[in-house]
Amino acid sequence: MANIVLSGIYKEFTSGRETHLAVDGLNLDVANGEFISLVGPSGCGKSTTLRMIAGLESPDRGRIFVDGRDVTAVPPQSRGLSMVFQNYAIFPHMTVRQNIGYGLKIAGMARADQEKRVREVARLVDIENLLDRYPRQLSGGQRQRVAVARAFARNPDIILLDEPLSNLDAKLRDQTRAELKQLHQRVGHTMIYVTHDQLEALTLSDRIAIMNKGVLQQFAAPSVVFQQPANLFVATFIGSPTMNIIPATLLHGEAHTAVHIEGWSASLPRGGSEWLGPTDVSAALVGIRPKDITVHDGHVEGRLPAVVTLMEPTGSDAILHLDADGRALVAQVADRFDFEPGDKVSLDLSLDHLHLFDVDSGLALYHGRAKYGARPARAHAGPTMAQGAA
Amino acid sequence: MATTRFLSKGLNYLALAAVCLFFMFPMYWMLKGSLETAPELLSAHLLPGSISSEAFRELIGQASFRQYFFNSATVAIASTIVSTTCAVLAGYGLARFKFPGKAAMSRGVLFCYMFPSLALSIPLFNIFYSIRLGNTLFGLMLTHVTLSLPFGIWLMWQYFQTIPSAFRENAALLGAGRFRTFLEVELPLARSGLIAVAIFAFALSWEEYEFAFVLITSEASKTLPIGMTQFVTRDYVVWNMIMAAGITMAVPAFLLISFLQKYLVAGFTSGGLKG
Ligand SMILES: Nc1ncnc2c1ncn2[C@@H]1O[C@H](COP(=O)(O)OP(=O)(O)O)[C@@H](O)[C@H]1O
Ligand SMILES: [Mg+2]
Repeated sequence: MANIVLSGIYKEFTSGRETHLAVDGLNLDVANGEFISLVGPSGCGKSTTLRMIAGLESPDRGRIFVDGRDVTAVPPQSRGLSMVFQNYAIFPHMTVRQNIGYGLKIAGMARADQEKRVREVARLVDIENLLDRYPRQLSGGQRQRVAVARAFARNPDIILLDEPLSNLDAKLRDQTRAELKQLHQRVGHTMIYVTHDQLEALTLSDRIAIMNKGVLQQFAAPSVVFQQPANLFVATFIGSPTMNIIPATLLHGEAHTAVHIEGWSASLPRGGSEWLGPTDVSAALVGIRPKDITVHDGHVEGRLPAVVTLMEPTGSDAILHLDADGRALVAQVADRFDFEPGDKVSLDLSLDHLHLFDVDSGLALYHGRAKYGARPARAHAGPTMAQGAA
Repeated sequence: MATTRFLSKGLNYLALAAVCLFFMFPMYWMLKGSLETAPELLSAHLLPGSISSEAFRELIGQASFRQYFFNSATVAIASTIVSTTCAVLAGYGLARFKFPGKAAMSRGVLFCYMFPSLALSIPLFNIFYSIRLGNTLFGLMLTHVTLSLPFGIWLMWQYFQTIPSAFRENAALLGAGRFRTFLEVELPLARSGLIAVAIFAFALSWEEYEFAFVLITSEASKTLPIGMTQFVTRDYVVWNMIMAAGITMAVPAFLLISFLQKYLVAGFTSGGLKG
């Protein structure tokens, strides 16, 4: 078990004449036994960050500490951590047993103990009956398990996982995701998990670090990044379907601020803890999640008028694509599937779930006070916001 | 429909048979010649008149022939081992390490590979005689290494580059040092390349004639390709002996190469990546 601190990490790649900033001033601290995710779009620097923690790349600037010890210059074989690669990289010329036991053999463990430990971790990921096979005789899911078992075998303090599920089909991915979480709860290593899939990050992690273009956007518990996104990028990256973003004008009064959208307006109380940024800007972007929009039939005064353009039933919910005076919006309604394209409806935006973002910087100005299924964010609780995001 | 398909298939086989005949006929002729007696052989019938092992018996009975065979095998095996080892190490170095002069060195390897080898014979002769390696099997072995090494290095260099870095990185994370990673992970993954280099080096040395002819003068150090020429005398060519010697040369090489090739089967190293 170990804690990890990244302090002011920069990493540039030079290819030919071009230099490309892959990680830009990253600060991150991971507590002992914590499961954190690095999430962000492809190319945002997640793998690079993980590889720097592993020692496979060295940062241009900044330091990496494990348990307070500066490991920035320590080679990978001396860092005592394991990694599951995206493409698994299990050794094709070794059997499953040899693959899992390779780290133990290097560590000089006695043969009998090796065999015992190999069986133990193989049982943990349910591949005990495959120990004598070669990787080419395994399915994708089984290979993934071998990679995980090999990473766990040496019982390292830290396990790094780089998109370990991205090569599996959807069903296997869900199953393996749950198993990974159980494994973490049972064994309790410090784990850093890289994924581009926000749902995976929300379901697995104690905390999520969201990155964009090499810059850390927010690092907080899943419920926090979901309910109080630090900026527009986090707001639109986390959650599915994506949060609606609507340009609005603000009018500040004595006790209230009026928010105007074409055809709709509301007033928010001033001075509360909901306000984060400057309270004197005259324009902002309203953010509202599809499930926080209530849809009523017909046009009703005081509500935002809209026309249904498309309905996508998802089984329990329906995703409604709407046109509100030329603006495309998405709403998610439960237990109603009787909408047709062309239906005239009117929308209520839940003020308790409303967000305001600065037009220029994208930083959050205001978060509605409601908490979905509120539960204080604890480091090891593994909050399950998955339902909220699904 | 069925007839045209049958016809085109038939034509295919016909063409294949013709090509096979063209390439296999010399082999057949060699085998046939080796099994005939000298007078029969000169009558040049397509089928052997009678089968006799006379040529083989006489060949193997000659102490000098056994010596040539032993010399050839020694030089071929030694140069294969030396050439393959150097090619693996140099190829790995070029593929994995950064060092000053690397670009020049890799270009140098390619240049040596393209260099007309016969142009080396006189300089090599001079050098070897001045350091007293002329007329020795060791000198000949070094010559063969000189000839096969550039291609071997080039091939291993390319081969190591195709091995994904994830294997090496993973081995490092599991605690393996650089040499251990090379020996236990990367070298096994490069096995096909290594075997190709070994086959190339062996075949080159086993049948090499020109350098052996220039460098070796003493009877005791002659190799098979040189030794065979003694069956061509001023007044008479002992054809059946030449043919039998040809067969004894071809068969071990063929067996060795097919044995090595069994390990070239693709798929042995597949399956380590992805799902
Ligand atoms: N070895 C490398 N050489 C050059 N550029 C690289 C290298 N590795 C990563 N990059 C670049 O750095 C950026 C971040 O890459 P990466 O960390 O792999 O992203 P992610 O894992 O988030 O998809 C990308 O733009 C990528 O092209
Ligand atoms: Mg990546």
